[in-house]
Amino acid sequence: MRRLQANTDIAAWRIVDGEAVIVHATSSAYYGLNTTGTFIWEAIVGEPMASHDITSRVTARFGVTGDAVRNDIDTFLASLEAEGLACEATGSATAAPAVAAAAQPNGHGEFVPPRLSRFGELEQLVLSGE
Amino acid sequence: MSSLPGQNAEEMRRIARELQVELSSEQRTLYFHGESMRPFLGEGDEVVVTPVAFEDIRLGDVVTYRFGEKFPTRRLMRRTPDRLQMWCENWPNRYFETRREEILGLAIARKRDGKWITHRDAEWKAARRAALLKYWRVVSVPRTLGQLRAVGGRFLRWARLRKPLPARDAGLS
Repeated sequence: MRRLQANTDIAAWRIVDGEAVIVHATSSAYYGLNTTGTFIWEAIVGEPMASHDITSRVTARFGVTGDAVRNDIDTFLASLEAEGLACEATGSATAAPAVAAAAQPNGHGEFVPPRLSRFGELEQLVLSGE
Repeated sequence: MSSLPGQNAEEMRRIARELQVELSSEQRTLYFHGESMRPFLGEGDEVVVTPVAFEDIRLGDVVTYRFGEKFPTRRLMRRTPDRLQMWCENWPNRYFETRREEILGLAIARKRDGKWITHRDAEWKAARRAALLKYWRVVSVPRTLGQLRAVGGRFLRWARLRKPLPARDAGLS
């Protein structure tokens, strides 16, 4: 089973008001994730996960059916991979976290399709003593 | 460029720029501007900054912090449990204060004329010692002497008020 993980070696991120801002270390591109995207990002930062495990977490979290969100999640994961922010995990699989995910409360409301937005590239940054 | 409903583009850019400081050891995109930290840091020097715990910052360290849209980089010279007083060796008469939550990182390397030095190199340590000595000589000692003079002046005024009246004045009554 193919599992994905966040490419934490080349990404720095911060979550503000439930939405992540990510900077790619080598390209200097920076990105924004919406709340659903941030939820998935946090999941694959924690551990490598297969698409169906992520779908299970999302359905448990947002109270939606897997069929309704699977395509959105796969598209989102593909965009993370295309930008180099996620990569295929190597090594043995761990147990699927569906039970733990189901126990989490639904605190973020309605499901919106996860989305990665590229905002451009950061130029040189000036540090000033003045 | 694209946008998300809950995200303000300016705010996102600000956060991304702060993350850029944290990534400077990989990205190499931080440059110093200005004359305030000469001779240690000068215009166009490339700088690497690494995240640091507030408790691990020592006197004489060069610290980058958030100040509005800017990222000042100065030496720490005094500290309290939650504030740092920053100083620039080329501007000895000015002080800047920042709070614990504004600290972004510690400068650990500098590139000038194609040559890198790091905080482990003798040149870096010598610059730190020289800055601390200059601060002590130009700021700490004069400040302490000024405080002593002020205390001494208050003592003398108090002592004069305590003097008994001269005898000839006492005889007037």
